[in-house]
Amino acid sequence: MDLQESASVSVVFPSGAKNIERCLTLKTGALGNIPAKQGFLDSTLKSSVYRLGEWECSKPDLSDMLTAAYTLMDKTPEGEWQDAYALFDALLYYSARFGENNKLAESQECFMAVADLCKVSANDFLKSSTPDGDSKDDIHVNALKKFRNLMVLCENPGDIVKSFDSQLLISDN
Amino acid sequence: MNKGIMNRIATGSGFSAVLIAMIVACSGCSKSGSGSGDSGSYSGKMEVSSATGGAISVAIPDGTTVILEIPEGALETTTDLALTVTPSGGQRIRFFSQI
Repeated sequence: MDLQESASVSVVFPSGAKNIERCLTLKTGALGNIPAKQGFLDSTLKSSVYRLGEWECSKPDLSDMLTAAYTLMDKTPEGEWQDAYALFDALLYYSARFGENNKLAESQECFMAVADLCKVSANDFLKSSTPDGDSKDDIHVNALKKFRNLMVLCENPGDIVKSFDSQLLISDN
Repeated sequence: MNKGIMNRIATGSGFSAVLIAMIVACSGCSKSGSGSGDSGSYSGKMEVSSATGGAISVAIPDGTTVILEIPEGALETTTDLALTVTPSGGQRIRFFSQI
């Protein structure tokens, strides 16, 4: 079920729970299991989602994440802004995890894929959904706003990629 | 729990870490358990309004609580939502929402 605004999903672990990780994935039809945008506040894992459905929280495995990330990089959003945001969040998630695990090249690839994804998905949406005359409805206007916001967000990965590049150059020297 | 806080939980506004902690201890929130021990599924239901949004929380026996917060405007119409949580051992947990 698509949402017009992002919902919050929180998992409050018992105090003293150990080895809590950013573990939330959402089961999707076309994209498989993809990680949600998520972060910790004390023992609460809080995530932001644009679709209701089936989630799973289990300890992520680096090898599995690499396979999943490269599979996602070949995907193209299907035209809904929810798809584009889900892919965007998932690739940034993988990029961050790979960075934490010293997989800098893979992390950078994910960032580059995010920038490409934004251009492709926004252009596809504009081509496929231009309304006739004044037939715009609230959902269409909302989608236009969401894609516009996504394009703004996509300005940031480029800056972060530059920061990765500069660090790689320093280590090479 | 005072009425103001309950209203904020019901409408999904002003959510914070403090409120999350209070929801865990809230006996009036929508939640029910159908499992035994640490097995089975646990679910909560709530009618979520498009105009106000809403929140469902479900606690499982190991002390973990899952909270789904829907903001206003997220749903096109008022909808009956259910949240079902299934612990699967260790830190592994599954949950899903449905109409």
